[in-house]
Amino acid sequence: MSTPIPAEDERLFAYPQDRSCPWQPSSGYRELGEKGPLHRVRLWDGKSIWMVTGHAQARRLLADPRMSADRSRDDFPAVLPRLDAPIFKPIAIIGFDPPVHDVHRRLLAPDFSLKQARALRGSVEELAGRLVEGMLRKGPPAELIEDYALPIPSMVISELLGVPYDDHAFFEAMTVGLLQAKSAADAEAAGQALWDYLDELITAKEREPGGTGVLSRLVGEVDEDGDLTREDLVRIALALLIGGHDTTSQMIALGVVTLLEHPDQLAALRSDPGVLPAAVDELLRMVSVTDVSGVRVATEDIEIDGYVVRAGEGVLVSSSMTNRDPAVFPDPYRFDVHRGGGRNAASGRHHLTFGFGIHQCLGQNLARMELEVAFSVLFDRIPDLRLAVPLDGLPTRSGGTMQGVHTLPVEW
Amino acid sequence: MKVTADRRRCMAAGHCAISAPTVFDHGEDGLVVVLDADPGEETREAVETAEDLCPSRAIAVAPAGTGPAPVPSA
Repeated sequence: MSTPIPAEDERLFAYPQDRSCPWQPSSGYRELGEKGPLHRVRLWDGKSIWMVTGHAQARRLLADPRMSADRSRDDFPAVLPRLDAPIFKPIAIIGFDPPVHDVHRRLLAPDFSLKQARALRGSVEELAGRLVEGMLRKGPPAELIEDYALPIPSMVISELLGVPYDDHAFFEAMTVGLLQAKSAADAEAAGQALWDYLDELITAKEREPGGTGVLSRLVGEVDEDGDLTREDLVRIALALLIGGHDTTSQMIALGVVTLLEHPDQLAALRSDPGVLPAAVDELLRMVSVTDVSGVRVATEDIEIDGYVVRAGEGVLVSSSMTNRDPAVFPDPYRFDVHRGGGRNAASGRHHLTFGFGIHQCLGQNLARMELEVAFSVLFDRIPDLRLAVPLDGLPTRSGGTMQGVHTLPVEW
Repeated sequence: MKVTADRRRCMAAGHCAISAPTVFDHGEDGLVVVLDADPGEETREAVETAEDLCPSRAIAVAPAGTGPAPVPSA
């Protein structure tokens, strides 16, 4: 048996495609999704991979141990040019298969658990309150990314890890440089700067043990012959610092835009604070901020609903499209804070924004809590918040998968 | 209804403790703890939501009217 479609086929759908609306996938994805659950798409380097838009198929593939997340494999697809940078091969935790993945993930589970997120809630509420006070004191207009959406997750992750927040301008800029790079060389340069910074920070923690934060704790667990080498620790620090602030800040920003552009839904949320957790999950579903639930490579031939994913073929699960599978989400392009039905506190959680399988987002409890606090504090304190530029004038990220805006001017 | 959770599979996502807080909790290590291995039928919807949402397939629930819970399946 041979793969029916040549890898170089120029007629294949080119992935990725930019959104024209901040909370909806491109119309090209929508047309693709209407044709079936799996599709062959062409990447920047001319290689072709599977793009999964069906929710059930995505869950099965992401939970299938025959699908590898190992980015150091030669057959692992580089979905964007930046992902060809050596710094991304491998990424800690999400770029490893069991057993190494499971060992590192469990090492971090206590720090990112539901209980930990609940314990941090009060301090995040205080932080959000202080940031809104600052905006009100300064007066309109405000730039919501810099004044609010970025400092919340950035301060939370730096405190959790034990990274000095005083260095935030550096690590935030390098993270954007890494995640928004248009070339492997640019990504590598930004990633290397972050690596050197964290390497030095960990050296300081080794010299002065007993500090607070995850990194100080893990310094004591480093064993060059064991489950956590020093290089593993730097790699984990890098992944947690990057993963801990950029996507959450952009999810706050795009969530605010989505709410402001759906005043009836914002009013429904404000009139019933009990709907907040479900509303946050509905925003996570709609915005699908990373646009991707996961990328894998098949290690064996896998049959799925009449399709055969061959060993060595890459698979990209689209979160924006699996989150719009009408079999799971009726009228899927509609934003509805009551979609989950409110029968159960977890009823809005069927979206695949955080992925599925063993690699489902480590920080999801923390992210949900930060989002709940960010939206409720902001709209409680500034109920007449509005965009200070027209929606189509927002400077949006382009050419990649991570969605976002460069700035978010607001007034009241 | 018989409920089991496999701590070797658990990745501490937390959905079960949100969905069915009288049945599931998490220990200091962040991993699942079953509080009630034989909860009443009134919790079935919540427990089945927990089973469905568990990303690492660590939870198993015996269907109504059957015996003990099966081993969690992938």
